[in-house]
Amino acid sequence: MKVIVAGSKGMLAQDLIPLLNEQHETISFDQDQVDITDKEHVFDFVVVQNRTLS
Amino acid sequence: MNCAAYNQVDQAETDRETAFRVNADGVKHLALACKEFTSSLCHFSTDYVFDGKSTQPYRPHDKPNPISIYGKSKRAGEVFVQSILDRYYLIRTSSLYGKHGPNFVYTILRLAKERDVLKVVQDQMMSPTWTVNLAQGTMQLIHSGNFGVYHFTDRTDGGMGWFGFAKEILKVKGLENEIEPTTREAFNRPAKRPAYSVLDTTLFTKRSGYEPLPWQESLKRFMDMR
Repeated sequence: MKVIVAGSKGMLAQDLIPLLNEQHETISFDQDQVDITDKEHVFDFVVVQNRTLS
Repeated sequence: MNCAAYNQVDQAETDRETAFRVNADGVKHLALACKEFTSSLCHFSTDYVFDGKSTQPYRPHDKPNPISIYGKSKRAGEVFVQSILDRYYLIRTSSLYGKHGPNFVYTILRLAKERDVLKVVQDQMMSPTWTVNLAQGTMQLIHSGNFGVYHFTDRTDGGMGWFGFAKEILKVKGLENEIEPTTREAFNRPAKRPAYSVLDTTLFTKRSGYEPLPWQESLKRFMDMR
């Protein structure tokens, strides 16, 4: 699977991302890279990553 | 997978706008992006969406009725996920602790160094959850392909108080601080907490095959890793 993780610096993500990395193509970000409260920002990021991932 | 959240429960009472921007609007944007790109969303929520008036563990389809701004903002995020998407995993968890962030275990260990006597709330029933267990369970759930609303915590067999959890933390560490039970009322924090927020994890286990680890074992493994 191709996975994007939001909140990569959080307590849960830091235990989850290593497990995802073992089996999936994983891209993660935190608020310094993508502000989820900004819809355009989220969509722009996913468009770019979608190209990278596929 | 959305691991981003505003989770400062007390601060949310006076910062409603930020709590809703992150926990509701942020989640809405992620759900809309998932819809646009035909992807599924795995989203984490909280036991604080319930009012705590139940006397038996909350099941995934019990009616939410949050009593704090934080709980309301998380519930608003859930509603966006459920109304925008068909393919989602909505996992409510409770009282999370782990190596990579501030949590109750760290707070107790810090207070144990600073004070002889610790006062800890006992009239709030919950189930603590180690992030490593939630991460492993989540992996199994997303590999199962069984979308839906789920509850995941460590195993407590009906819940426990924070006082009991704190006592075990001190015991595992061999600390001899005195510890006294107190009440939410005496503690008087800005946000209301549910008196009872034990979550029923049966469906999670049934659909993912993951059996929650007993809370004492989880705590021991966490402390051994530190």
